[in-house]
Amino acid sequence: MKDNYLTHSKGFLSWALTLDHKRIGLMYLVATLGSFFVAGMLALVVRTELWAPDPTIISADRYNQAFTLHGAIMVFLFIIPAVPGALGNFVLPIMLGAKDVAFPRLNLLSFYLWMLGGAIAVLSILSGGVDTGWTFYTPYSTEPERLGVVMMATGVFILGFSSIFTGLNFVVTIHKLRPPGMTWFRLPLFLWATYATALIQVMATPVIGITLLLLILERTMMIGIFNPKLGGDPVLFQHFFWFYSHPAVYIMILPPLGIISELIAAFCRRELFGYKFIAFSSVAIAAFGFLVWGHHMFTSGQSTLMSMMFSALTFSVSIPTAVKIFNWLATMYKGSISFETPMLYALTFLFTFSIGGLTGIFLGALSTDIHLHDTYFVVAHFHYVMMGGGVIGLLGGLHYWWPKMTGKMYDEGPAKLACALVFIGFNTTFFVQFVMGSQGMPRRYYNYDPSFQIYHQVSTVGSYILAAAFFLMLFYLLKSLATGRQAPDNPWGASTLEWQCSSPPPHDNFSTTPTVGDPYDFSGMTYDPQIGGWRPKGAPAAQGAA
Amino acid sequence: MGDQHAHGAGDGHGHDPNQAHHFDTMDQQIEACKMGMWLFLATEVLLFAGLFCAYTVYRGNHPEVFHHASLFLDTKLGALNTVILLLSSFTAAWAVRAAQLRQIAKLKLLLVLTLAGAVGFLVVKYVEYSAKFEHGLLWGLRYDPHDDGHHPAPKPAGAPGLVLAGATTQEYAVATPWDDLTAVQDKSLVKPAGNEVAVQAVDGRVVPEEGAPPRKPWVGSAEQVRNVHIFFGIYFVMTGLHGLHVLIGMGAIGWVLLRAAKGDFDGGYYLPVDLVALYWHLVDLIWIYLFPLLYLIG
Amino acid sequence: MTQSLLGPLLLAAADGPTGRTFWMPPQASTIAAEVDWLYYFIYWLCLAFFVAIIALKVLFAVRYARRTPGQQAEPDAPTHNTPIEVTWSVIPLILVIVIFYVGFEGYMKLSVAPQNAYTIDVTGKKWSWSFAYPNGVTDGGEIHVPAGEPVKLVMTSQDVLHSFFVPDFRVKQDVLPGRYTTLWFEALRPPEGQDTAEHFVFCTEYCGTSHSDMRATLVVHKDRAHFDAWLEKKGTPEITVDAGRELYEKNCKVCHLTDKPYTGPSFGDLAKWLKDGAERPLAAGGAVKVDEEYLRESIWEPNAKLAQGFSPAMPTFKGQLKDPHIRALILYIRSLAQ
Repeated sequence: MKDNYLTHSKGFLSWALTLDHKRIGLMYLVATLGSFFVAGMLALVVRTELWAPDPTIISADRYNQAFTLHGAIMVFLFIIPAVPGALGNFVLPIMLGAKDVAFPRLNLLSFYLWMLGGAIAVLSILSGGVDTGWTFYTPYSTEPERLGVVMMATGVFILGFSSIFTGLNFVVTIHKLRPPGMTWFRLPLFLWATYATALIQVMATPVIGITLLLLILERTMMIGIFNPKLGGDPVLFQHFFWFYSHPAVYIMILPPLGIISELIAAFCRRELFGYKFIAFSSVAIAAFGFLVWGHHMFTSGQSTLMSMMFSALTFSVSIPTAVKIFNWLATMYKGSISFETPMLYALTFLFTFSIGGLTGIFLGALSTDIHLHDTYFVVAHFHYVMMGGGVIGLLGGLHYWWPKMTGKMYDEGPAKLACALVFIGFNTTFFVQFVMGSQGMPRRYYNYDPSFQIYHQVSTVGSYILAAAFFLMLFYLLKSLATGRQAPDNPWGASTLEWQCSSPPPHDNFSTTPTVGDPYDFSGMTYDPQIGGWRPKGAPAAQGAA
Repeated sequence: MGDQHAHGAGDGHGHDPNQAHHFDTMDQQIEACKMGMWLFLATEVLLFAGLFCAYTVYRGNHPEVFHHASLFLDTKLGALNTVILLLSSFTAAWAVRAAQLRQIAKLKLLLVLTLAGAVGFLVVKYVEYSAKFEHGLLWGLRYDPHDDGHHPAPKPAGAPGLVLAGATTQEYAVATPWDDLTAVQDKSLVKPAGNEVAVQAVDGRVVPEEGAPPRKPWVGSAEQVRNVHIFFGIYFVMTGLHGLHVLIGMGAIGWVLLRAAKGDFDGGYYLPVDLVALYWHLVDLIWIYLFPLLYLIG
Repeated sequence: MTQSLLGPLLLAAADGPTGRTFWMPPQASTIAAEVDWLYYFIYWLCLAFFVAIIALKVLFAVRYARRTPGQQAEPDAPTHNTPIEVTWSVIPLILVIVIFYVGFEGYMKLSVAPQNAYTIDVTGKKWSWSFAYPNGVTDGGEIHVPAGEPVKLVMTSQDVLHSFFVPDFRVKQDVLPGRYTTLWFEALRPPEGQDTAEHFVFCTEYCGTSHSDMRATLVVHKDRAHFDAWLEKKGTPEITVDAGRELYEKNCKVCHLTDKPYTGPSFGDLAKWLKDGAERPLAAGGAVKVDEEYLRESIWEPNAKLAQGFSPAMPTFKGQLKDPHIRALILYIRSLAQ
């Protein structure tokens, strides 16, 4: 076996102190997926508790801590860092044709800040737990009884720096480390999406930093800025919080949108329909994302004029998002579509993300939002976008790049089964929540009126199916590491640069500087049944996996 | 940031030892580092932007609080600090020029001067902070304005008549020993602030009676201008965070100074000096905004 | 929910204007039909788009599936087409402008209360609502309103953020400490033959441990006369065990059970101690004899003599529960000792 980044050096320190973006990406992958499993377990606890009204398995306080921790871990430890930190770190420099990101040490620092912030945030359980919801609304979060808030906020503050440094690194890398020939309009769409995301990370995260700092000072020193008893304004906290957290939603969803663009191009074997539109729409969504935060606050008592403007601006974001979906569909038209697991996730994504996007219209419209705000409708919408869009996009990317990252192929059979289970489990869990939300079931409820029980039970059953799917996935992915077939350099016949280097890639990514052309030119490769993958036309047939 | 990355020690190319292996040329590396620094500075600006927003919101909501409370900041010390920081920013810029011209001795001297400016700034800040602490001009519940018992309480500049001029028959005026009562028509409306202070009117001014208790409220009570602590909360957060940046800047300048002493910049490579100077200019710039917004209101 | 789960899409708007449908709770206020109109407008529009997207997806997936491993995309596959791209950008844009406008109109109606509205003061605190009527009557647990005329709620919170939500009315408004927010509605008359109709009130802004129990019942009276009669009677409670039980269920039950200690001591224990004239240790040291005066004090100033083993979680009911209420409550507590 050829020397690759996994075998290049050995020992714990060669990983702990690595500056190789691929190793850092892999460490991020393990860490963020670990967080996903922890937060997923908490979700199961929450769903099980909601099987029946009244106490089922845990007390109200524990329940409140469980959904808070579920939300905080999923948002701050998993979905914000997962795609940029894990897949972005691994893929971005190779896709770009660079040897590494611009600041490898800063990259490693980002990872350790993630570890530190994550540890502090999770250990807030030990200092009394946090039961504020992941939104930390004041003045509830600054009450003296909220013991864990300071630790949690400190953890998230540090995670913010991790996110800022990752974004900063990516922006500079894409600007300054493009090899000759890699013009802006030859960037694969995943890189456009990551670029737009990185801009948001750099521009929005400092604001949550200062907000959390003020929250910490409010909680420890009672500076009074958010405390109505001291003349402060609790609604100002909401403005500050959503000024970051709405753009943060795009940090969570833009990279998966980029992944889907890659998957659809690769598995339809053709250039994406409307490349430039998709590229610009990522940046447009990032920009508009800064102008819509007030749509989380239509019932908060902000002025009607502000609500009107935020509602109008919110709809302006929906257009580029809708057009992306149309572009993906148009890409399937006259393509050569194959249905390996990553493509199945892309197709699942089109289903779930469409629902997530369309239900956003109900919430953007003012009068319907008044009814639906803070009900399960919002929970369902959020999960259809973040999980149906974000996580399913991430899973598509994970299955797409898994052979490149590990050098092993997973079994298609169980993978397809798991994808089907994810689809069924996800829709069972969350679709019914649209119904109960419309019926008036508020979110963050421990106890509820028995008339809502049937919806909760359907949802809980769905969550178990979802859990089964993830355990199956864990199983076959781990199995592939042990007994998987050696991955060819280009198992899917994809055209972007990362498929030109071997699987797994060598330490320096490319032994020779790659030739950069059209990112979606599929004409130069041919299928080789011997290696079970694709090789450049004219290359000797024996090359590739040995 | 000044991130130097992996030195290309092992890769055996004949290029600049400061060049990391993943850059093709030194120019590319310098451009990347500068861009990274500018982005980092942008995040710093945005961090403070959040505080400026809070400032704007509360000044909009409580203009009288900001007007009143800012009178208790020492404009002279603030101005002194502005001058100190401007000078140190100048020496920092000059240091970059010296590094560019490989005048290492001059570079070291200028860096020391910059550092001295930073220390001077913090000393002045310490003097200001101590006075605030002594007089209880603090945030939130710790806001407890009083004479510290040793020094006469500083008289708010321009304060006489501030509140009292607005006294009407509906609301009585609350008098402090430094208030000018000439503007008040009906002296019977005047009442001392706080219960423990005995005052008498002498020539239109309220002065403490003989044997009044040593600890006297003097800024005014809740009836006078409410929520003054909000201003001091914002004042301490903004200047405190800025002070923290000054400390970090001192660390960065010290680090560059050490590297200059080790001879790292003898060969014409001076990127770290450049980046640290950029950071120092930003610290200066933020103060340029803080000074008028906090000290020069009204 | 009466319909089968199989036909949700068809039954969406089938149940008439005021009944519960698969998607929406009953319409019980004048604004509800308008909100629901927009809801269903968006709903059918989304459904049309969604069906079209999925149909095309399936169609393309079947039609253009790869037959042989080496198969390329069709050479004339388009990579852009300006007329189509403009069309599919502009049509959704026009649709969302319409949706925005209708939503905005409805929101303005929800925001501006008519001048002549009947005003009720609402106070939220952890974890109950209390309602004060113009004649001075204060009550918790239930809010009563007359049908057929605008009612305005002026709301504030004593501690953290809450939110007042009546699903059947399609209205919701956050309740903030240190500030007043308002919400208004005009309730529809209860169905023929009923004097009153009841609706859920939920707190929808997370507020801690018993957030989900911070509910109330909104009772709509068929007309103003019926409402006024209720209000007058409310001002003078009877002193009976039943009245006491009613008060208990509205005000005390969230924290005090009758059989075992919960957030607060159980009323069953109180009954026993009251009967025996027992002494109870206090958190601050010392003890107090359980008698009627102690109970009254504990209701009005709960933390004055905090019993050992309990946290000072109880809010004061002074002003809300007056002397007759307390006498009724004591009667009820005494009845628990039998």
